Formats: sequence, C-alpha cells, structure tokens
Amino acid sequence: MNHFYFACPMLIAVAIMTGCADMRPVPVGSIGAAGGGTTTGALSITRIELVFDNGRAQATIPRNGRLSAHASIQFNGNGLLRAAWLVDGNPIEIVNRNVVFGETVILDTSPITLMPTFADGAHEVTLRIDQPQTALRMPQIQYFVSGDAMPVRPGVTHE
Amino acid sequence: MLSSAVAQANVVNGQIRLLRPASVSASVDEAQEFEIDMGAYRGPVIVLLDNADVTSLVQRDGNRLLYRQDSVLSLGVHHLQVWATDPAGPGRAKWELVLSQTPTAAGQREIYSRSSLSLSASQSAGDKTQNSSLSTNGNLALNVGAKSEQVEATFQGNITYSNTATPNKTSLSNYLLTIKHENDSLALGDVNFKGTPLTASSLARRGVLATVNSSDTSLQLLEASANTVSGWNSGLFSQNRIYGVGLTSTLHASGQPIRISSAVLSGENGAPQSVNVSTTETPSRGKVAGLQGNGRAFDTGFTAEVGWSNYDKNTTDTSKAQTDRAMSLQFDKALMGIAWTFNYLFAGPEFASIANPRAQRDRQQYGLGAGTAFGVSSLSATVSQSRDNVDSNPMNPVVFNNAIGLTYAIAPVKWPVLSLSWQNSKMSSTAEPIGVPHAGNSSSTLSGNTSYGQPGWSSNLALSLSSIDDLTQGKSTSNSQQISLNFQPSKDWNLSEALSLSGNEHAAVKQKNKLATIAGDWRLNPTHSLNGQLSISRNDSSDGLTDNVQQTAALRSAWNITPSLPQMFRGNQASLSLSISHNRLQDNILATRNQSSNSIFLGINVTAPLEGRVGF
Repeated sequence: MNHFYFACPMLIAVAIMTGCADMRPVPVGSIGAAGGGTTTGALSITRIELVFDNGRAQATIPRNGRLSAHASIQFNGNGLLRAAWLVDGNPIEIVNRNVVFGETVILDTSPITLMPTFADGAHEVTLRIDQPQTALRMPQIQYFVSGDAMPVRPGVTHE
Repeated sequence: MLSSAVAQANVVNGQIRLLRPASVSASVDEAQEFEIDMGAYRGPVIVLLDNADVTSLVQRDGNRLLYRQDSVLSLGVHHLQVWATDPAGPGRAKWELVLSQTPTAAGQREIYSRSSLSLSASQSAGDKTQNSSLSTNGNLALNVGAKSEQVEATFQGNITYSNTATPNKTSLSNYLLTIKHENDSLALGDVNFKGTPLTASSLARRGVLATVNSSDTSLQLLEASANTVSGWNSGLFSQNRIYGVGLTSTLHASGQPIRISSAVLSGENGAPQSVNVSTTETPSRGKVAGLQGNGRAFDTGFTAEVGWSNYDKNTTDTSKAQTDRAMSLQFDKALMGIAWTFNYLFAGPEFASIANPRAQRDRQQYGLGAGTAFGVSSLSATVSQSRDNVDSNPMNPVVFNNAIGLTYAIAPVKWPVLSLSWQNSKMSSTAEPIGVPHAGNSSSTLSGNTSYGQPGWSSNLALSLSSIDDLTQGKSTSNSQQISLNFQPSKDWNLSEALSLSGNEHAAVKQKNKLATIAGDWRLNPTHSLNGQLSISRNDSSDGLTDNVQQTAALRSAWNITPSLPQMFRGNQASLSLSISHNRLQDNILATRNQSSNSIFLGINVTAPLEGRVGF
C-alpha cells in the first residue's frame, strides 16, 4: 500500500506545534491561503483575523471542553514572526516562525495547547505580535465557558 | 434522523471517514454509536464530542475507532472531531451532526425544546486587585422548534450573560433560524456558504442562506455581511453585504462521478475592520466567479478551476475596478508504486475575491510531489517554484521562490512513531526597478516528531530548527521544542502536561521563551472532585529589554449538591465549588510592571436540560 503525503504534512505538523518556515508549495485546494503583495523587504503586517473553530469570533463551550483559535495574518516582505497567544492576558503558547515567501501565514493554536476552559464566564483570546512591530490594533475574540459539566476531562490518548 | 450535507454515510473528511451513523434515516437511538475509519493514520488520536474529550472511552481496533455514548444524545446539533497525530503529520476531521427525533408519525405535529440552561455565581474574596463583587454567569443554549411531516422550523443560539464581560454583558451568538421543507431550507443567522477555492471555499458569515437540493444538484443563495461579525447589526441590516449563488451538480461519466461546482459572489465591504479583524485595507467592492470540476478519469484524479474577478480595492478614491482571472489545476496518479501529484496555479495581478480577503493574486506556481511506502515507513518529496509579478510589471521586481521538501516517517507496531522533515527554499528577485535593491534569501527547516501511547497514557515530542539568511536583513534562526504528556490511570483521574521551549536569534539578539502548563482533575468520589491548572512562562532576551516570569494557578474543589436541592427542572444538576486562584507577573526589568493577586471563590452552579415536546 502506498502512502502519499503531498505538501509535506510533517512540516505542517511541526509548524502547527512549533512554528517554522512557511514553505508549503502550491496550496491548490486551499488557494485562499495568500493574497498578493510585496514579497521582498522587511516583514510588515497588513491584516490580522482571529476566529475559533466555527469560523467566527464567538464560541460557547462547556467547562473543560477543548477549543482552538486560528489567526490569519497577511504581510509584506519576509523575516521572523514572533507572537504569543494570550487568554485573558496570560500567554498560553509562544510562536516563532520564519516567514520567507508569500503573503499569508496561518497560525493555529497547537493541539496540545491547553486553552483554559476551567473558569465559567467570558474569556478573551488575542494574539500578541512581538515581531515585527505593528501599529495595528490587535483584534480580540471571545469564548464563553458555560457551567455544563463534561463527562470526561480533556487529555489522554489511547491506542 | 441524521442529516445535513456533511453528515452522510461514509463521509470522507481527509483520510478520516465517519462510517457510523451510516444512514441519514437513523433515529436518535441508532445514532448513539460512532464508528470512524482512520485511514492511514496510525498514531494516537483525540476524539471530541461536543468539545468534550471522549478519547478514553473510545475503543480502537486497527484503524477503526468505536465510541458508544453512555447516555442518549440530546436532539439537535452535535459536533464530532478527530485529531490524529500520525507520523507523517496531524490530521483532523470534523462533522456536524443534526440529530432529530424518530420521524414524526403521519399526521402528527409537535413543538419541541432541546435547550439547556446553566447558571453560575461566585463570590470572591482576596486582594484589592481582584473584583470582589459577585460574579455571575449564565448560558441559555436554545434549541426550539416545531415540525410536521414535511416542514420543520428550528431556532438555535446561545444567550450568554457574564457580569464581568466587556463590552457587552449579554450576548446572543451562533444563532440560526432554519425553516426546512423536505431537503430544502431557508436559514437566517450564522450561516455557512460553500463556494469554490478561488471564490470562497467556506464563508462563515451572518446573513440569509437558502438551499435547494435535488438528487444530484444543490443550489445555494446567500445574502450576508461582508466582514466577520459578532453582533446583531449585520447581515440584512448591514451596508457591508455579500450576495452569492452556488451551484453544485454531480455527473456520472463511465461510472465515475464528476462534480461540477460554481459560485458567483458580489458585494461591498464598507468597513473591513471588525471586532476580530484589524487591517490597513480600505473599503472595497467587487464580484468574483469560479467554476470548478473534480473527479477521476483514466485512473487519474483531477481538480480544475477557473476564476474571474472584478474588484475595486478602494471605493474611497478615484481608482476604478480591475478585472482579472485565475486558474488552478491538480492531478494525482499512482504510477510504478509511487503516488504522484502535480499542481499548477495562476492568479493574475488584480485577481481578488470580495468574499475572501486572502485570495491569491499575482502569482504563478508549479508543484510536483511523489511519495511511497516501504512496510511501516514512508518517504515523500516535493518540489515547487513560484513566481510573483506574473505580468512583469516594471514598477515591481520579479520574485522567484524555489522550494524542496523531504519527509520520512516510520510507524512500527507497538513502537513510537517517528517522522523527520527537511525543507529548503531560496527566494531571489530579478528585474528590479531603478532604486530597488536586489533581494533574496535562503531558508532551511529541520523538524522531527515522535509520539507514543498506551492505554492510560500518551506522549508527544516535537522539535524544530529553522534558519533564514536574508541579503538585506541578515541571518536569523529559531528553534522550538515541545513535549506533552497525558495520563489517565483511571476514569477518575486525569493529568495533562505540556512544556515548550523556544528561542530565536536575530541581529545578535537572542530571545528565549519557556512555557509550562499542567492541568488535572481527580474525582474523589461520586459527589466530590478536584480540578487544577498551573501555568508558568518565562521570557528573556539578551538585549536586556525582556526578562519576566508569569504564573497563573487555580484549584477548585466541587461538590455535587443536587440531592440537597429541590428539583426546579427535571434532570437539573447543582454543584458547590470552592476555588483558589493565584496570578503573578514578575518583571525583572521594570518593577512597576509587577502584578500579583490571590483570590478565593465560593460558587454555585446549576445546569438543567430544558427539553420536552408537545404533539398536536
């Protein structure tokens, strides 16, 4: 049986978890992955959009449920992108990524990042861009942890 | 019954398929068992049902996952997710299931509610930095409707209240009013429009969506807000509108299905900024159309699309709308034991989609991939070339980027799975305008990932080392290590830890970040449980501008007090909790940034299903 992994899923795997150069070739099928711009020069950010899994800026989740956030960042130029995912101002994941070509980078919270769903109520998620410096207002998205009890805690995987 | 376009029998979602529920006519009782085909994914998995981790309850038999829900799932929408950590990369599949009651008997009409309510209140005591007032939160998950034999009207949404939320204490989110008649529907609220990759492959916006389905054809009509929205003031009542038409039809040629999809979108985005979008873009207006076909012929899979757009990227100046086109092709074929894929993309310099701010433009790309497997290991390679400035505009340089990638993965039975990946790319500019310097860089990334699990525990380690050498900006490197461990010795005890170390160096400045998190819970007995979370991060830089440590911790003890309270609603649950939280920021550069707070919370939480139905 042949297994074929085009577009280098391993790279995507590690990129998701750790951040690395965005070099996926020819993203046909997900062509919305980039928009034109200047591909040379110092890195500068032109657009940031944050969403949850549902593609929206709001989500409601039971206590101890799992949730991930996604940032779509459009930029000009290339260089090092340093950022941190914050929930209620507290860092939950650090991102370092060398951006070498293209105009859009997608940052997903890692599958193993523990998005706090411990406390009931509203929580705000944002991405703090440490490098490059940008004058853009950082957008915020909000999730609400309801008091519904979960049958099982997040965590262990089983073979 | 199970319905919706994504929740059919044998739904393919990447390589992961949902095998059961297998029939769109399944009743709720029949839909309590889920069977998933993991395809080639062999690593540990995470299974989430309605965002609850049910992995420990999942049985795995080869590449099949089986999950039985102990209690009967409530009627309405449910979400099933699978995260796979295969050595060749992670996979993720997601299904939206709409469970409804056994079909209404002939002539019977009913009104039903499948809603639920949760309320919590807590009183804190602690440092002055904390809000010492009563904290109250509530969530009303609404799912009400009425149906007869062929017509059903439903309303779903979440009304949340939090007196600590800003700016709105009360919000209505993810709401959707749907009127269905057999296979056709009209939806108002947070809708999802399925376009094509060149137009907007998936558009989640607030508006109105009408869907008409026949056996092989689906028609969608959309009117929605152009920008991502979070409030009522959008969709029909907004000036930032998008109108769309999508048509998908399946043809059958020589026994092979060929799907033809088309989408046309038109609209104006008067306010590109919104609550979750920040941009330097200007108000814009445009139209975009795409026609896509995919299927198999002569043992070759193909996907092809052509797109056209007319776009005015700034409606506030005198510039006019520009017309341009785009095209994409993809072929895949197995030959000589090797799976080959070829991709091509062309997007004109002015191509744009009003429904997708990230639409590709001004680029031409070729890509070739090949992969094969040897027993339990696999090897794949990709090469690609991209060119920007496809029309050789003399005002801009022509920029080429060449990339190559190799991935090796091995997944021996009962041994840890391992994968290694190397990527290299080189970018260079030519035909620079006068005064524009030559630009170029080369970059490499080496990454590895290993994971292993046994019943009761699992682990994952990911390493990455990346460097970029730029002609004008110099060299920079970044590295990352991330390890996670999960333990669940019994169904009453769970512990999850994650540790990540990352760093980078640029212009002789080194940055280091460390982040450790741990979470766990312990059900001491049927009425008493302990939950806790701890997070510590440290950030340091060699230029002396950053040096801080941040700690957050919380511990909660909860008691089930349901038997002690009167039953306000059938099936309601109540718990009393005592929580301790600690937050501390220590900045070693500027002491005025230091923060610290400790609090104790005493809270009560009540949840209640609001379910029932009345026939008439």
